[in-house]
Amino acid sequence: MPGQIFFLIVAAISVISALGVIFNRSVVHSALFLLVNFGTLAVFYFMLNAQFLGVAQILVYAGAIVVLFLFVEMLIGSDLGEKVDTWLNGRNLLLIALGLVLLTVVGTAVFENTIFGAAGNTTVEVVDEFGQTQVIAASLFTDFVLPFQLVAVLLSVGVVGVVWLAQHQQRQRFRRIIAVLDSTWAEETQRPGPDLLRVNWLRRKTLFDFDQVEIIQATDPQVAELVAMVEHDTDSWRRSRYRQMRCLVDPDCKLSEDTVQMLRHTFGEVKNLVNKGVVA
Amino acid sequence: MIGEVPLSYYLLLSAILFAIGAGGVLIRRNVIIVLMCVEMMMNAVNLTFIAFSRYLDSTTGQIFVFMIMAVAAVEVAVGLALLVELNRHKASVNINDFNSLKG
Repeated sequence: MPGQIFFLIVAAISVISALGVIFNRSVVHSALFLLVNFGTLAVFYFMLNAQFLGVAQILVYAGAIVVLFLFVEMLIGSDLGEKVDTWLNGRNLLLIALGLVLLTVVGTAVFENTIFGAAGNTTVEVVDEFGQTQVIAASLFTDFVLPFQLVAVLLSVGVVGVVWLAQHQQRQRFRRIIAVLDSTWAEETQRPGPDLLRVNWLRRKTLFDFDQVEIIQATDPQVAELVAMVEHDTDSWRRSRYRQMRCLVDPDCKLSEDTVQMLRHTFGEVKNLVNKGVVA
Repeated sequence: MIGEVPLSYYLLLSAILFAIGAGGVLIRRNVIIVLMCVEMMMNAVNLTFIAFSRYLDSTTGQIFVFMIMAVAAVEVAVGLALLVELNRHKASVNINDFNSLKG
């Protein structure tokens, strides 16, 4: 009987935390409820004599997956601003009703049927004699070697795929990004074409992956600041590109000869901007 | 203490957790929460596997759970990487905004 009471307490925590994941405005709180839910499941695994998987559950789910969720939330700031009162509309009530139907069907199946399937020979006595991990390992490395190897391949593919996804398409959005120095321009960015982005460098004052520099209206110190920043860039990929980069200077902004020399030294090609107002 | 709890308790709990997860996937519009609910459903199934494994005196269920855990870890990593990439394009985590493939 104490076992059943313990089960019911942990089960209640598990269900409440599962509901907490759904009915919570803050995504971070949802992730923490999820952590509690995974923890209670680990307790059940221990109760069911699956200590190895209980520890794996804590390591993999609580240690890796929840941390990953939290990390991504902090990376992209993902509160949608969904309001609880807008959830209880007709559509969602229908969905809740469907969930209850699912639950009823599964619950009926649980109570109507007896256990099916052949019993194995890994009884509690065997586990006690050889140890939990040994018993699992014996099964994993004899009957399930091939799936085990496939899981290893899957993990490798996953790691490579994730790195590729996170890195590869960083610069796919715009074919060309232009850093513009124009003190008469107030906006932060401008998109003259579908794949062209002009960024107001005088407002941003930081380095980004630009493909071209345009100096339309700027003073010598401002240009010197850009050159100094570019010269001190530590990003090796960007450093390799500056020597091939084009820098267009409007003759009207009357930069001193020294500044133009500096630009020539830093960028691959310094040219006068001919068609003013027309995007190159 | 282990043997005192009937198998049906575990199965019913796992059904409840699965239904909650399914409901969350359908109700919530935040992609991260939807992914969390998918994880919850997977965990509910894992509990069933382990409960059966215990009551049938077999380790096969535990091996299945082991595999599912590995797959779940990869799934979350890839899913979240996709989400970060989608977020760069659309500046949103609302699942209704990611419908570019819809005909």
